[in-house]
Amino acid sequence: MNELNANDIADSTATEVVRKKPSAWVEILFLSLFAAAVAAGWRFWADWLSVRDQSFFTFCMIVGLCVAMVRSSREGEVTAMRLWIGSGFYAISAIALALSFGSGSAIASVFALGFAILGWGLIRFAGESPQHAIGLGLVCLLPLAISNLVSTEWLDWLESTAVAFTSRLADTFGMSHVREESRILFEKGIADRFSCQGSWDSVIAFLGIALACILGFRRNFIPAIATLLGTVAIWIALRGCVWVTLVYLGSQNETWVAWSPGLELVALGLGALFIVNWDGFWGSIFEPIPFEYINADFPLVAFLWNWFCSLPKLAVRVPHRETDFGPTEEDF
Amino acid sequence: MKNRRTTFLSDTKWLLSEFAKVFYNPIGVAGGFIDATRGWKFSRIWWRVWLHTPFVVLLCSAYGASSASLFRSVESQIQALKVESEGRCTTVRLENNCNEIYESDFSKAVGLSQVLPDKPLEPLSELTIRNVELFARRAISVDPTNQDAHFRLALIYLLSDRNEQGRSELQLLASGKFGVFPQASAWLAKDDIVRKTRGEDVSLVLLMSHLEQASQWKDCDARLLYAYSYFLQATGDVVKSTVLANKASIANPEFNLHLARLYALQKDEKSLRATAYVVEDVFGKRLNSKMEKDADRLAVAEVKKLTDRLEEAETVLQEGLDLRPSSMELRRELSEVQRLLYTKSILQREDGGVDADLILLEKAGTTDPSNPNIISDIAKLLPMKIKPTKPLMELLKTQIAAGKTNVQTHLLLAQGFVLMDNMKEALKNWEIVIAKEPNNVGALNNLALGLAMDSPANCDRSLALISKALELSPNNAEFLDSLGDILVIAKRPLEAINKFELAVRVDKSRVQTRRKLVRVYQSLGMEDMAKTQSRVIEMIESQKTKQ
Repeated sequence: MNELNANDIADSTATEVVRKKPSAWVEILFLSLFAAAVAAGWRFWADWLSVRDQSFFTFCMIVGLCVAMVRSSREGEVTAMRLWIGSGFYAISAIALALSFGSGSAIASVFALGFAILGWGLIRFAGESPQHAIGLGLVCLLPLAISNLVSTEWLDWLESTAVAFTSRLADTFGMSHVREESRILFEKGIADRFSCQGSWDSVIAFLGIALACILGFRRNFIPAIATLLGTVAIWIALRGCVWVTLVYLGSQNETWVAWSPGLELVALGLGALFIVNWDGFWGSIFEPIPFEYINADFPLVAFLWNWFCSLPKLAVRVPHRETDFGPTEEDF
Repeated sequence: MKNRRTTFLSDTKWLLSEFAKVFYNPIGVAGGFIDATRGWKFSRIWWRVWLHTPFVVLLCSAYGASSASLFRSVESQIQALKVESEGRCTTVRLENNCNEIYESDFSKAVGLSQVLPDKPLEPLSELTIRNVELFARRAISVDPTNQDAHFRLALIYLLSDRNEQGRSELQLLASGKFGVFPQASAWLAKDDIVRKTRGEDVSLVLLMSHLEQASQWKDCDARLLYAYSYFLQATGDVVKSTVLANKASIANPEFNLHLARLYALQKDEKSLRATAYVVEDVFGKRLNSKMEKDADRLAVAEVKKLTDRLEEAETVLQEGLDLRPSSMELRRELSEVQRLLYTKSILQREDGGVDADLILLEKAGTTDPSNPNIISDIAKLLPMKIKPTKPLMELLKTQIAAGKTNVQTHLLLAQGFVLMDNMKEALKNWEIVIAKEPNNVGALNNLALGLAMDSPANCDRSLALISKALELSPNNAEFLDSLGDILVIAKRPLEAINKFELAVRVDKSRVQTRRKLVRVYQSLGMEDMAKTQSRVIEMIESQKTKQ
């Protein structure tokens, strides 16, 4: 970089990547590992998919991954990583699978599945940074993370927060109610327990939509985090608003209101609309500044912004020009 | 590897040099910042951003609306809830509805007539109850120390048959945790009184404490003040009882009757007379009207009785009885007044004898033959050595035959018959006493001795009866003495000596027993023992003389 003169504009991290194309064995090995992992973790997957919102979450995840793959393959032919690194993940998957068969652990089988997909993604995903490809692969471990979260107090906390939000909203609109742990009793109706799981409008279903957006639109780390956190916020707000509206309508006709599957689907649809827009909004905001708009003499701020927006990709392209403070025309 | 290290080093160097510009060329960096901002601005696809913005704004608005309630003060929230809640059902209405539930039982418990509203209250709908409960609970969640909300919640619990929860809310209020709240104590006292009359286990100490706190309330139900006054009177605190009765009588003039009773108890003639006039005025104005009740006439008669105007009391009651001959209360009270007139007629003569107008007692007996006090009075005639008239004897016999006489009457009769040397009749009465009260030790002792004295053939039964008396009251000197007497009659002098000695050991001052001992010693030729005992008798008597 030091060799460039003041009039040259250069890329800070311009490196040409040339990698081998994967053979058919990669697919065969992947499919074998995939089938074995699914067979080993059959009980886990049966349990997981038996719940409506969790199966919806899985569906969203698969759709997202497929879209991400199709889109990434359009952007280039260079695979994300060298073949041997992907094979390394296959090896880890095989070890996890062996552990699963040996100990009967469903968790190990889910890990095996995750690492198999991760390895496959690293070899197959073209036009992606290695970090991004790892991120996409790790998504496959999310069911395991969520199934662990369900058994913790996290969902209770979330329910409590949702109830608190609804209570405050009802207060603002002058609706009489009383809160009983995770239930709200309204004057003309009772809000059932705020369900974080199990229904169409659960937070898990909402997170599934968010995941489909993140994968499908191939969001970077920061917009992805903004979308996931925003999804939880949307779920809380939507549940509260729908309840307050329902109770308001119910009190007008002096009838009791009740949550129904139809209402769940409406809430899910509304939630999807909000999530897509929320994701689009932050995706647009956190776009890197294009190369041609960056001041080549003082690229620091643009560099930091682009680095921040491009996470988990660490290498960022910014133009720069060496400033030469040599003798000026006046010196002659 | 070497290439990577070189790239890393050159990149780090480049980055450090860019950071260094912040210090030696800050204006340039600021320009870079402005350029980056512009670059950021011009590189956005703004129609897409604006398309998404309304949804983000909507979400933010929902959170803004939710947060708005955080800025409302607790007082404002409570006030709003109170207004809403009172709009659904006022606290007074809740209290009235609760009162309606308690009224019948409570009035019965305090022995007063029910205070019923002009029109029966409409029961609260389930929806109203649920909403009022909701408002109260909401107010408590906003301000856990809100007394009004706790009170309303307690009333709702009582109205919806959740008495335990209601009681616990009232107890919380009465504990003073949230400040003084005597209404809660008043309700608890009322509840305690009702439960007590239903036979439930109620702590008297707690009840008194609730009544004490309730009495501090300026709007306390006069009947509670009366109840507290009544309890205090029972515990002997007549002065405080009078103060409370005074307070109750201000709220409800009918309680002047209770106040008059208390003045009579304290022998405060002046206050009694003043209160009696009020009572006569309050209850008297209903006499001979359609509103008249037995209680009114009884109240007037009672104050007349308390102020020693027995003839007037008799007239009032007689008038009432003429109007309602079937009224047992009036009949009994009239009989009592006539009995008191008879008691007043009893005069002690100079020669020690007694004069009494038995006609008055006969009159009382005619008015209410079942009055047990008359039978007692007849029984008392015998100890006074006055022979009952024929109608009185007839009445006595009828009552004994009907089994309406009590133990006390028979004891008095037995005592009278003994004084009149009619042992057979006396024995009959003691037998009746034992039949009614098998463990009456006095009757057992008297019957045992009486039977033995009547005939030595009865000694076995006498011994059985006195043994039972001694079982029930061991080491009783009197019973040991009687046993000694019976043993003498049964010709078992040595055993008799033993019992007499036991009796004097228990009670050293029993001269009569010692004299009996002397006689038995002498009959057995134990002269030394008889002399020693005689000397002891002399000593005791000389000491008594000195004293």
